[in-house]
Amino acid sequence: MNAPESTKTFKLVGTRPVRPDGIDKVTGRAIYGPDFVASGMLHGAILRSPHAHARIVGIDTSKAASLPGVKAVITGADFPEQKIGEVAGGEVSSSLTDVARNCMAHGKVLYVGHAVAAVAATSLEVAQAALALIVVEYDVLPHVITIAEALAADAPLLHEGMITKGLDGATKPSNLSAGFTLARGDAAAAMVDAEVVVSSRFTTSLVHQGYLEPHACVATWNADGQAQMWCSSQGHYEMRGFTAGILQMPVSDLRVYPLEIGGGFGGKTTVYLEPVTMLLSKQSGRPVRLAMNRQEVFTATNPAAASHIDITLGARADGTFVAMQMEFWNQSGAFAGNTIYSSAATAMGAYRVADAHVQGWDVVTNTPKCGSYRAPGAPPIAMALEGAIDELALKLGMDAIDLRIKNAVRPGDPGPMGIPHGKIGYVECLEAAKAHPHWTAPLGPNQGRGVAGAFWGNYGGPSTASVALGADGTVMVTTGSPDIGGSRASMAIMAAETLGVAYDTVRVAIADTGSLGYSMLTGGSRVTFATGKAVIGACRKVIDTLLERATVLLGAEPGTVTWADGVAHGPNGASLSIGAIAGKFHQFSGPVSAEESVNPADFLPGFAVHICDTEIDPETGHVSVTRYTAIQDVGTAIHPDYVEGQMQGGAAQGIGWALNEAYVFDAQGRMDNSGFLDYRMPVCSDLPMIDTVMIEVPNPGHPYGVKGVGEPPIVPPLGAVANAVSNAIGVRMRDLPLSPERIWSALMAKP
Amino acid sequence: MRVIVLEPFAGQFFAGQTEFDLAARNLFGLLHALDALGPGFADAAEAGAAIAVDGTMEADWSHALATAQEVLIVPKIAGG
Repeated sequence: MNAPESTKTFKLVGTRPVRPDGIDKVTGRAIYGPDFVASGMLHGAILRSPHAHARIVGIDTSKAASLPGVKAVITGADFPEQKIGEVAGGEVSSSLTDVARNCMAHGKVLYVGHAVAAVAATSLEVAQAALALIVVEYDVLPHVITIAEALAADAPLLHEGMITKGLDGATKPSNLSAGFTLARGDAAAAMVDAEVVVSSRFTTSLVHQGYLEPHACVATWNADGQAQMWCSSQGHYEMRGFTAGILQMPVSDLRVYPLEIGGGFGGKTTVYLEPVTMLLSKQSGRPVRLAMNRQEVFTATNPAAASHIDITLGARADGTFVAMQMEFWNQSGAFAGNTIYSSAATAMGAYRVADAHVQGWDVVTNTPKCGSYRAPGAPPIAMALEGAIDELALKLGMDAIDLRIKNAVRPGDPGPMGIPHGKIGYVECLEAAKAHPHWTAPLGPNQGRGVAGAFWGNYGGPSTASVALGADGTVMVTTGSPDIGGSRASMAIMAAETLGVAYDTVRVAIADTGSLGYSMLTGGSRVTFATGKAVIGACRKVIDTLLERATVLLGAEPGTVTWADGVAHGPNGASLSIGAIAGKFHQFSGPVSAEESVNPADFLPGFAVHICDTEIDPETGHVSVTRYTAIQDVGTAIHPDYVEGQMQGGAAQGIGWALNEAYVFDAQGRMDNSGFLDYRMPVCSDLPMIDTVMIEVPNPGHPYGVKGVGEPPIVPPLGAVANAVSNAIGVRMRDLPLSPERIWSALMAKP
Repeated sequence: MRVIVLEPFAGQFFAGQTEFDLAARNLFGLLHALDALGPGFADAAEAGAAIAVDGTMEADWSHALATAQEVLIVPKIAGG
């Protein structure tokens, strides 16, 4: 579906060629993180804390070190003392001290699963046997697992010196790491004038991204100081930067080779194993591999924050929003987080509210450090906002989509930070939802329908790409962006479109950190936009070179040769193919190639609207999703299959978040469900076919109109499912997950 | 030139002050001027700030500010 302003026509952009990496992946030939093997490699294992909060009084590794086959044993004391504070890592900054201490505890353990020591040995069995010989003396401290526990007046402090950032006058240490306020107008005064007001608290739990491939890393640190790492991540330049920073080594001495990635969704944007593996390699003088099992993935990597959200939304009788007040608390786990900014932006991004006050708080707890998960911080906030809008629609007697259309942001309206929205397509999405047959289809007994919208800011950021021609005119594109969502295909399409050549004459490789300049990680829905701009820019430079050479070869005057369809066209019908020019590189100044580095800021936000039907089993409280439609402003879909896949994947993950997923802890702070049997993610048989509608409102800031598409589709499902379930049972449900016992209890409590 | 600094930077470096009237040739110069008022701000901004000039996000901090009316400094937002 094209919006009216999508007038450009393309030859390859918008087509659906076969994915170039498909055969290797379906036949098992692709090399993922845990597959990689180095000659002479040792096997590592990590000892993890059994306590949620404890001081480390002492660690005795002598027995482990003397076990035959053990070649290295390290603890937090082997990490260099961190001298610098915040460093840029991906889109946001991170405390290098916190990152290092999350890799290996030093002084205190802050959650069950926190690494306290590591061993490298000639076999995994020996390494695991050595772990059992390490004696750690703990002074166990009281712990806090939930937001409420962490905020209690007598709560034990995770970080004794933590003073709340962003809270004027804060002097007393607490578990509140930061506060952030976004405001416009006078929300309190405007609320008084509202004719209809709803006010509610919504809650969500810690959830995991659930990627299939566990974290793994092989490292070798040579005696001359040079090192190599092989790992799968969303950004191998970030892996290099964090690891080199933590280990205080020159960046150029560490070369990181990207492996295929079996899912990330934000969970592979920082280091866990990499610095540990490097230190084990340095001590042993051998290559070392560390790989997590599923339990470690759940308990020692970064889940998404749990949230408590209080929202009050006021409107006039005609449905015009007049005021919003929101206060929320995001659980960041063992170390300070950074989702409160995107959460606040989500609250302010989608609707016109003249007077609004949004206050967010970041709360540390004795749980794994929380981190990015696909549109970090946005889905819970959107659930609260979209739930409040539904409650308002009910009070006003208005159609839920009409109320959203009435208040939706348009181009030129202020965005969350006050910067005007560019060419956005939220209203187009809402109108498409209203017109979709799903919205008016009849419902059966015990069924309910919900709708929810979404804003997500997207991102640009630095990328580097190179384009080189073979002597036959075929094209090699090299980027530094790991391919998670199909970027090999989208880069090949954009390169082929720009050069005017066939798609299958373009091959895309992902360079290691020593072979190409920096590219920021694959995240923030940025790669097709930003790395795509770098590829297009490099292609344009190549065309310039080809035209210069064609002009000489054709004996033409400068400026008389043009490029079209992969051919240089000169005067009098003369022409030269791309291969005819590229093959002459021995007779020119060198091979035809070009590199482009970009750091674009003209990205635009993404908007989505999801419609969900649910059916409730009144005897058990079980919820079935019976129909689901995802609608999204995608800018221009470079490869529509992948865009639809992103929309379907985001919906599936969001449905799981809404219905089933949550970290469950026992009284000691141990995770009770750290496996896929007990941590219930949706599988295909749980879901209906997820219908997709792509709304193309192109981004004028990109040559082909690209907007980020990976994250927006996980923002609406929590709200859409909760609204559908609430409508099905006639009880407003505000706490996720919407487990059978919660639904059944709500049904039993109905008057 | 009106300069607006949002939290957490305002509280962390400028005692809660969010608005300034400053002149600078480019954004590096502006951050240098702000760093003089709130020591440590420039490093924190380089690691974690996004900047808009007259309502448009600006990634290249070397661009001249000769005609700029308003600069907005906000925390970067993380993606996944």
